[in-house]
Amino acid sequence: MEEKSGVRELGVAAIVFLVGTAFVLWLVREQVFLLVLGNPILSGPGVQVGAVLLFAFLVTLLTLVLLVLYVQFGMEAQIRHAVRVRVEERAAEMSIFTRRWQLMYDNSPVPYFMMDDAGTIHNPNKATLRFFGATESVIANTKLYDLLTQVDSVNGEKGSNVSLLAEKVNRGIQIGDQEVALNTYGNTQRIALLSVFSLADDSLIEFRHLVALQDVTKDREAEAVKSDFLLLASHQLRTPTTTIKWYADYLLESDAVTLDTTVREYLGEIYTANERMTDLVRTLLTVSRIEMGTLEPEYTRVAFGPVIDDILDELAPDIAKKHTQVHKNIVHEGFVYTDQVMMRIAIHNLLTNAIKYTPHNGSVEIHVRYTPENCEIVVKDNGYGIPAHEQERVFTKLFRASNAKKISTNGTGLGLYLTKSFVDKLGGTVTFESLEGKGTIFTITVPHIAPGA
Amino acid sequence: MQESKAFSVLIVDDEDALTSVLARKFTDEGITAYTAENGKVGLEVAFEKHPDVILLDIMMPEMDGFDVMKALQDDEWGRGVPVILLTNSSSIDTVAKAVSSGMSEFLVKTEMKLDQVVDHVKNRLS
Repeated sequence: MEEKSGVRELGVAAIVFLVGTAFVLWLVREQVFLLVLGNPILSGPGVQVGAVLLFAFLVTLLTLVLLVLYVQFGMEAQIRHAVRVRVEERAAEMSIFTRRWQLMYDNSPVPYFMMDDAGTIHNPNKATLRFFGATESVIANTKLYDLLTQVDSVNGEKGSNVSLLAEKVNRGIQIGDQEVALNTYGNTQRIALLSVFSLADDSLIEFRHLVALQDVTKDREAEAVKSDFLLLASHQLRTPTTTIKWYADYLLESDAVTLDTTVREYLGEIYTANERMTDLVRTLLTVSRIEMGTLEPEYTRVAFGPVIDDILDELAPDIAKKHTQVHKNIVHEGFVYTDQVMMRIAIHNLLTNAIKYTPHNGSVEIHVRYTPENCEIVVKDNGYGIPAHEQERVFTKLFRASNAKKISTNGTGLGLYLTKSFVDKLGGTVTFESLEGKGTIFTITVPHIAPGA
Repeated sequence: MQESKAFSVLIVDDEDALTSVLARKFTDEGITAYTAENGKVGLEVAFEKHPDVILLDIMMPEMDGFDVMKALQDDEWGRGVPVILLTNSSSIDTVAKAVSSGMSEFLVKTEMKLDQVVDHVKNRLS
């Protein structure tokens, strides 16, 4: 619109200019004719008018052309100037940006370096030099792939897959947090998470791979120490409990030994208390393993019917003692791919709680329902329930409901924590509804195939 | 019980209290029980007596259970004898290592009653 109106204004101005020029020329026509044609008086007024108009038109045209040319060149010069200023500004900005980026790259605590397709290290930053314990001149001619001693495959399998890694890198596949072991110039081996980001192959940049390392040597060492400690602790704690268990067991069960009633009863108490101790040690070890992240599920095809039967067999003495009505309902037995041991513990804890926190002659139901996507396990009791104001803390470690503490002093506060930890690990969910004095319903939902399976 | 008289079991464990009650239980069941307090002695007894089953602990002084397994695999008789791992370490690593070393069964002591241990051995014998 703006351009169009500009053209129109130019047209109007040109016409006005044309008329004005013609008028002025008419006044001085004789001088003009003399000057241009060598004859002041042309034959007839018609010819005079025509000549004046022609002259005026020519002058106007010339003026217009000059005007347009002037504007054009002037604008171009202006634009050129503006561009130059902008470029200079951007260059200054870029320079600041580049310097800032360089500062970050050089001084980042993360070891960064550039790498070519052959694996040769270029532009190592300070953290890289510290990581390898060498100067830039030493590092800069080394191939990363020669320093790698171990590359763990995606599923954590150990093995030397250096050539596979190189192939992936050169095909431009981004490597993220791949655990590797590297030799350094300090003659020590370091464990690091390796990440490689690559520019396209047709890029003009010579070293197209940006490599970042995250040193996890200390973390891995700490984990190993903790794991060793746990192993030792489990062994040391379990040996005496096993000794108590087997001797009490021998005395109670052996035909070769006759016991009077009181001795038998007392031995029974020792045996039971020791079983509780064993259970506690096992639970504590499991909790420690969960927290260290060293508990990895083992996926197999699991049908819950036999698992539940096995748990109910184990709980049979408690069920009999409290005259609890247990109702098991499996609509159609199916299966899921999950960790049987973890799921057994998860369900075991729900059933133990249901029986323990339901009064004598109470009712406990367990329902299992399979769908194509998942499996739902519902444990329902008509017991004491969980007080409303305590419900949000149910899955926290060491939590015990205030009413539960009054009913039984025996409880670790770890059962539901374990249940939730396991089910979470297996990609499922645990939910519950509870009314104090009415009962509780816990629902475990696990996927048909666990995400890690 | 008459026919099981001829059977024998070797228990290799550094916990004397555990080996002695277990050995007594086997004797009650009519099974001859040999005991050894570490891997080195265990191996000597094994090669001398050729027991029908070996119950083997893992964490032991002198020579641990895995070393015993290696030595057994180098022997013609040793390759054929059933070895049941009897340990208190239930870590996945130990189980995996036990399976790959050729042990046929893995029992966690603290989870087992004496009867159950005996049953597992009897299953191997029959």
